[in-house]
Amino acid sequence: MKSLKKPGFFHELAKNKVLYLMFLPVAVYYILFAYVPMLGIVVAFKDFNYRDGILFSPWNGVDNFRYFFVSGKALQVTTNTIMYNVVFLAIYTIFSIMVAIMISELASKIFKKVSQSFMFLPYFISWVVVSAFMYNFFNYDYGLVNNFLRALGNEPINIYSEPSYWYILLPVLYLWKWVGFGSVLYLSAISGIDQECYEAATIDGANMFQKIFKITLPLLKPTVVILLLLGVGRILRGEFDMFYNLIGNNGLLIDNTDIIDTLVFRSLLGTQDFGMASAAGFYQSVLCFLIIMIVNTIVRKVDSESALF
Amino acid sequence: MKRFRLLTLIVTLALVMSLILTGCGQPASKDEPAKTAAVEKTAAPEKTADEAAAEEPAIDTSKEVKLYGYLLGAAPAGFNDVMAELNAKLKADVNATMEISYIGWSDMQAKYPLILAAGEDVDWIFTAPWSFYAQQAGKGAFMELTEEIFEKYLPRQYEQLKGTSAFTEAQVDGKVYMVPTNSPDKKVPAFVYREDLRVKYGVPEINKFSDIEPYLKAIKENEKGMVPMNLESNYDLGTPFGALVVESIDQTKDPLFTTGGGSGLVYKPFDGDGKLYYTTGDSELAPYYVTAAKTMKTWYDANYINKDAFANKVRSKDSFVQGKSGVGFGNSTDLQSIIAQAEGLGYDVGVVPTVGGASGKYMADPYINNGWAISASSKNWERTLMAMDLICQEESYEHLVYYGVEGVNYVIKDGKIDLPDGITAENNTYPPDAAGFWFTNKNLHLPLATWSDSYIKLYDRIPSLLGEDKLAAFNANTDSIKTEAANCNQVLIQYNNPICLGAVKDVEAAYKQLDEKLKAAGVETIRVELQKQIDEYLASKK
Repeated sequence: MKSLKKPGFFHELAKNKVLYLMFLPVAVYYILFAYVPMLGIVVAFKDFNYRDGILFSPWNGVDNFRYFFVSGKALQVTTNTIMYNVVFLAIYTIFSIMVAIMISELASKIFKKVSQSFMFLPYFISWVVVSAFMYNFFNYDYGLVNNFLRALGNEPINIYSEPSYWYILLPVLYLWKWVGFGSVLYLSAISGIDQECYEAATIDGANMFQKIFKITLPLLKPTVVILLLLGVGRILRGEFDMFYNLIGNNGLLIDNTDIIDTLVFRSLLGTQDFGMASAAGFYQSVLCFLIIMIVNTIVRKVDSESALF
Repeated sequence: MKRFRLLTLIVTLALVMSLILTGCGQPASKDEPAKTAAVEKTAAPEKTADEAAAEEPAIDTSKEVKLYGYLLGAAPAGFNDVMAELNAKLKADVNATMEISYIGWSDMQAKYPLILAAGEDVDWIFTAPWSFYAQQAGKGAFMELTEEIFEKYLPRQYEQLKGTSAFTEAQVDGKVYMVPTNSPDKKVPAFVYREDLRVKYGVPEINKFSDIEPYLKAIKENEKGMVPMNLESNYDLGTPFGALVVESIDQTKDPLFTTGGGSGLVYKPFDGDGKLYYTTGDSELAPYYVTAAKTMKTWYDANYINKDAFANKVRSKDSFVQGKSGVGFGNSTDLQSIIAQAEGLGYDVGVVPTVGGASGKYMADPYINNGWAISASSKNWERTLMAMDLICQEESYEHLVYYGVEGVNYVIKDGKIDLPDGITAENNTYPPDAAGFWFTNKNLHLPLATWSDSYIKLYDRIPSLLGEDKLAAFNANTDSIKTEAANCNQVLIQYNNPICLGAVKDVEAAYKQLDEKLKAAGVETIRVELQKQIDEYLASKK
């Protein structure tokens, strides 16, 4: 009878102490840097002041949330954020896979390394620098592009007052910056595919495209799904750096390029209220959580192997 | 197969993690505090024999400390030399050294509150109503300064401020959190233009801002590579528009004004009744705003204004010196060095104040328009106060931080501040006023030998150009209207700034939209609350 008794927590600890010891640093890291800071969420429900600090400032219910919804902008910026991120995620995934497959199929080792490095380079360039590039390229009076257009006798373009250019520029810049990084993720997955599959296919007379579509892509699917899921989890977190540095407070572009993060940043600069900013952050987190739960459930229903949890 | 998939997963996750981790990376911590702190000062009680030494016997300065301060703007090239000399002096007098950092103009709104919120390594910081004084004081970011503290630690400053309205002006909910300057600037907003080019192209004289159109046209047509008005995204954006408005309806002021934002309501400072007006809709002031906006639009459409003002971070006054802008905007104080540099390059500079059309005046600065505060988290506030008292009020300190190192950046000749031999206004590494110490005792200043005739003419006129703003010391309390204030601020940034720049397609329609958005954002709630506060304030002053 004794053996049927469920072993206690400490028994479990003692039995696998080495494994738990190995797990300890990770646990400490997450508790310290991911769970403890979550307490900060209370600021969203408080009338924050420096004297009383985060924990002792007076509560003020949902007052901090009012600003976000009363302005009527919540819907617009939420849609903008989701739309931009869906486009970003889609092109990022597609192009990263394409580039990864291309690189993996290249024969020349040197060309492979060089092209990969060049594509990876933009990842290290900050958006501040990119915005300086853009300014020098597209500035109406002296910009490179506009000088070129004028030299050809065309009308110069003014990207800083015309939102439609940004629908193209933003995704292109995003791709330029991230595709090198994304392709490395997929390349590592491709190099993990068993070479025997390809050998067998070659013997059976398959050409390159058949191998890509019948072997590489199907075997990449689990990686794609995981990365997509992680990407979807961030879908309400706009690329703040990018939007803020490229567009800033340009009133002419705001309606079309405003995301949650930039709206919050801009409106709260004047009042400098941490509570209201946290409220918006809280709203983002809740929506993110809901979205990832829903998407993960769908994935689990369709293909339980690929789901995150 | 299974094994490979696992490996793939691990590599992928590792890369993703590294991405997340680099995103969260902490910037390297600031350089460690002065190592010399360990060296015990042998003759601690020994102090330089200035008159104040006797007044502060109770203050223990035996332990050396390092003080951290923040100013606005950017450090001039010669800043480190000045700091080296300043630290030598401070070490001898109060056994402390100081490290000063700058908050740049373009990211001031974001960085200023962050520095105070982080609360690390900040003992004192520049503050003023236009630099978030009331907001930050209300949140408890600054240390309260009682009269006893002033008497004990700031004897020289207290001597100068005693009996003035400075303390009343600095009150937030009845308490003082800042040390205002004792010599408020006598300054008016102004703009500079190229007098030599005006004459060259036969353009009529420019006596007020609205005279400028023919000049802009001449620059556009004749000077390739120069934009008539090369505006920057923060300070300059609303300045020409504001100058036009002020000329037509006299001075107006937004009670919640911050650079680039506000409430959308204004009062007339010289009227004294503190009545708040809308600037849109059926307000009696609206037609003036619409007219000014239409003028801006014709200029913008004619390419007199740079099309990328929203992305440009170089102020027009600096572009002016570089020959890239036909007009430079600033005030009669910060344009001093611009004019000196420009004339050094051989330009003939014209300078015109932008004052109210009817009154011909601008609001005189209150005491609190420049000042500094002790951060609530300061560990060495006593020593900071003592050091700042010297910097603000002792002539040798004051001249050092304001004019630079004697013999290197300036010499005193015939009772005037002049440049040493071989130094010109453009290659002076520490131009006067440029370092951001705007709160020192300016009564200690001497006239500059580099002042041009056009500047002296303006300088002499300044006292007659100043009028009293009855609400100069009014600090709005936005606690109960913070939702509406945040929304209106955002509406102004989005809808008003393009109007001010002239970058909208249809001015009337844009104003109608601004009016609707402001009303939806709750501007009426703000008006009612602020009007109540203003009326109470004016009643309390009677």
